[in-house]
Amino acid sequence: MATTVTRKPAQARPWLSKQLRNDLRAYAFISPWLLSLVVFTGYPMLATIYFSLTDYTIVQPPQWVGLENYQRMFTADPQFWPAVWNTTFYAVISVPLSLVVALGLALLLNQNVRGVGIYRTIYYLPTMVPAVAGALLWTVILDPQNGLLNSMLESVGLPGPGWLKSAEWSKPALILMALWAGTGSAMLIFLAGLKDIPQTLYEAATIDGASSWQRLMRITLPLLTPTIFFNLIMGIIASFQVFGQILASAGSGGTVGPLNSLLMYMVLLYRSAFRSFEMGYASALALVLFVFLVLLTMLVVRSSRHWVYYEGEHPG
Amino acid sequence: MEREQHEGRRSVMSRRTFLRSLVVAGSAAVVAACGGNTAPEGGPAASAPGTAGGGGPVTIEWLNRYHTPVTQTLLPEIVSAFEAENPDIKVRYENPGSGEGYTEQILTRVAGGNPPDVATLFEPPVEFATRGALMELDTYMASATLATPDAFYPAPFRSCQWQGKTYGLPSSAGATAIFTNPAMLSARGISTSREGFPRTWDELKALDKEFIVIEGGEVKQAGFVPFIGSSWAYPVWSAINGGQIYDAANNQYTIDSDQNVEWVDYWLRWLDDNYGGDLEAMTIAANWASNYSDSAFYQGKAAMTFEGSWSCTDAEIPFEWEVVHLPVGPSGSTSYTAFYPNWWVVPNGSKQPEAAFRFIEFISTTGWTIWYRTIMDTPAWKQFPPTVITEKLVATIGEERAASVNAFFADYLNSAAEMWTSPVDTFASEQVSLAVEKVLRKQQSPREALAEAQQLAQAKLNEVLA
Amino acid sequence: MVSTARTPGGARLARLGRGLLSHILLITVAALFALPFLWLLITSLKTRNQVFTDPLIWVPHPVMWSNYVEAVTAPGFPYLRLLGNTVFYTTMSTIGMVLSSTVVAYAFARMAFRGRDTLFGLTIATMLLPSVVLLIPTYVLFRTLGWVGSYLPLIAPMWLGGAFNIFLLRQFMLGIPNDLTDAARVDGAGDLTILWRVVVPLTRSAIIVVALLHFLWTWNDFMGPLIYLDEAAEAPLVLGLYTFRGTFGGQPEWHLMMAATMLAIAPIIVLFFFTQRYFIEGMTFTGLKGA
Repeated sequence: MATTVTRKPAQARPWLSKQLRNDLRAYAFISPWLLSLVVFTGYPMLATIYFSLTDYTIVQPPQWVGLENYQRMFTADPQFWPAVWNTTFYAVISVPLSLVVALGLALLLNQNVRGVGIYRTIYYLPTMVPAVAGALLWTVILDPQNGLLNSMLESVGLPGPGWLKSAEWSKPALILMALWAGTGSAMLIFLAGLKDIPQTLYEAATIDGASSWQRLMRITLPLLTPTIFFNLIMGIIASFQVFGQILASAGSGGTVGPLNSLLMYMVLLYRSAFRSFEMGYASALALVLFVFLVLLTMLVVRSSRHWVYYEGEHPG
Repeated sequence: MEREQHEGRRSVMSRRTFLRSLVVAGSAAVVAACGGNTAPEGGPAASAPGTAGGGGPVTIEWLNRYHTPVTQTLLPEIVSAFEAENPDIKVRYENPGSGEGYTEQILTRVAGGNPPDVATLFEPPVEFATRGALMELDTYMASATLATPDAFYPAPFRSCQWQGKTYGLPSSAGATAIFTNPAMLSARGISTSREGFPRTWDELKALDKEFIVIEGGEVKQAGFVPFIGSSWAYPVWSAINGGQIYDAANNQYTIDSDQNVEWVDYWLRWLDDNYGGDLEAMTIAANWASNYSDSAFYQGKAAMTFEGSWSCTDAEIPFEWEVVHLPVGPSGSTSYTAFYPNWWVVPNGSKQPEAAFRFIEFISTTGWTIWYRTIMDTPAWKQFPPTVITEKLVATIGEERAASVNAFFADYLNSAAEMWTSPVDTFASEQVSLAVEKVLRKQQSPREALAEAQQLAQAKLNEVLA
Repeated sequence: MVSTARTPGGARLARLGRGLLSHILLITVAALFALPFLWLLITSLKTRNQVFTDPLIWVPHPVMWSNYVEAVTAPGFPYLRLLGNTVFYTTMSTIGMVLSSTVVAYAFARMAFRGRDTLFGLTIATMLLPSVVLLIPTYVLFRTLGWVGSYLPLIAPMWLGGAFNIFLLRQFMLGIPNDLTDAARVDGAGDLTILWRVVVPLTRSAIIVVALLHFLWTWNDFMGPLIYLDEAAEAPLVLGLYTFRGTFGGQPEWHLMMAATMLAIAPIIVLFFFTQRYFIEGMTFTGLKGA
């Protein structure tokens, strides 16, 4: 995040008192944000760590229990590992799939055809729909017996799966919902990335006789890797925290989806914190997710050296 | 499945454990002022903010749980009927935001020292009581005229008790039955009478087979599918096979008892023998649970189904139907009904416990008539006048049949299965239903799956008892 | 593109063919994305028994406009009140967010002070922090303040600014030529005057982007209202919709549910159609700078 203001010489040699006054004025300007950083970021960060080592139910002060919450999570909670598995399954499939679809849509929109604006609007529109509303809508569409999708599948001779009512198909159903609702933003970002690729590169390649496939593989994708990288990280963070659509499509009581197949990590966390009031345990869950996401992000960042292409001067 | 959607029924909420710390319920310390006590700005017309003046009538605050359109019209009726009988008490009620936050609201308000005076529960009071969130009602009941301990059907009343003490009153006991489609039965020359209905699972399973139509591997029609839907009612299936899921007297779960293994194994064979063994394919083919408009029963694709009395008015079944008893399993001898009460409790720390008790006594005895006229959720009060019959029932099936159905449920409640009595009921039920599902989806054997559920449930229970 | 040695007519034909192919693809995909919306509309106009049928019913008959009336008048879904709640708290949140972020961004962009770069780096870092890790202590904090059950937990923090918005506005403000602000300063204008008179007018479109994105985010937020509001009278649309799901006896009345869903998403879609230029600008910016 490179850009910095070049300081003026006049400010580089200030009187102390003037500097101090400047500082104070500036800090007055940013004071709300400082307060926010301390109260809504710094304190919760530290408090989560502390709470996670306690038995805390809000109405009683936290009781120190050491690593008991973590022990319970990894060894005793019958729902922890299923939730980890469900969430990972969902993320591992939906993130790359969404990226590919979003990129495909962006490539499709990056052509010189008439009415692209309208298509762009339509592709982006589902992003506007609140997760709860989207999930309700898809519950109707995915009804195993007489839903829109299965009826259409059956009309072309394909057997319709049980979707949200099936232990095997409930996560694919969720991924389908995510493809509809979640690709719009990534698509727009890809589209912006595509617009930034200098046209001259393509022209030169065409003269050299490169096919459109070669141009895609040799020019577009390499130059788009920073954007792919960004979308990948955002996608990972979002998909591990999937929540609203689960509550709306499967409820949060009882088993979440057939055989708990939709019990996602955030749902488990929510139930622990706000149903059972086990704030200590829920904090431990939050922290484990956080550490996991940090590690995963670091891994992606590390790997990015090998596949993200940064030009000398970035066109941003 | 259907059951899960029914307002006020179990799965709207599930908490596996509660505030362990609600032991402190009484301690007004800590966090006061959780938003719950603010009056809804311009809420329902009836919730006029009452003020409890020094000598004037006292105002009790009722944390309401109902929000379906029809119940919204009944609430003011009930309140005004009660206030007419008790001029010294005013009732102010609030609507909760969603089922989600309801329990949290009760618990934190109890903990914060500003609880409502009355709360409606759709989950067993025992779960709250063992955390010290509820007031014992026995002293009030001792001097009560209507709500005495023996005035209620025994099992529904015991669902309010923990170790001999009473923590709530059941207004409804929502009895259940097997609903049949007599037209489908008689078309095959099968008796449609209650008396002629199968008495054993073997007979029922054979009867089921009569109706099954499978085309190209897809179940097109069924007789009776016991194993899909209504997992909240599993204790009754255990009971009619002579078993028990939770032994309240000894604080002991008995999920993997021989009777229960036999029951689940019976279902597995039922699925295999009658339906080809593929639960998932069945689920896709139709909704075999319940009797609401998207169900196979409603659409004439299943001859029988299991459901609660409330569906007599909720479901609007478009043909003539009959209700019959559940047959008994190989190890069982008595037919029981499952039931699903609406419970009424006085949270600990209520400022007007006496007035609060009078209100819940009213609603769970004579006051329930107002409700029952519109919604057929069978009363838990034994002296409930048999002449009060849900109006819509009379309108749809005629006076005579309505009276007969009404009497059927009232009588059936005398033999209701023991249920709702565990402090970790929600958690344990979830484990049992997961176990049954694993068996039917061929992931585990009945004994393995139930043993696992047993271990988890007992561990959770011991945690609470400790 | 293939060979340049083609006849002009052949090249034109190829281009035409490719254009046609593109259009077919674009239209097919558009149909896939739009179909759920269409089905939502169709279902919302059906009778209860027409929702799940075999074969599907594409044209509801009769057209049940009354579903909308019924959904809105159902006590479980007091539409106008939910809409009012949503507009109220979303607007309050957005006003606070825009005001505070603008002021803070100005300081980061146009004022020199010690610790600025460190603080700005910290600001960027918080953007990557998953909100889940802050959830519980924040909840506990609001509970201790006695704010749970009011809109305050949903509004107050927004008046302190947001990392992404500060970042976005700062980037825009950096693009304003120094001459303009210097000129104002020479005229004796203080920072607040410069911000208000010079910088804000020049950052107008970025401010609109921030406002719209935040507005949308707040409008669609589910977890916040779910844990902080506990009365039906306070609920915003998304929460009302979620509650409505469980309010009908027996089974969800899907035809009414769909009418309610339609009503819940309609305002935001209308807003989008009028302001999509800004949305797209905003999203574009997100990606570019993030990368």
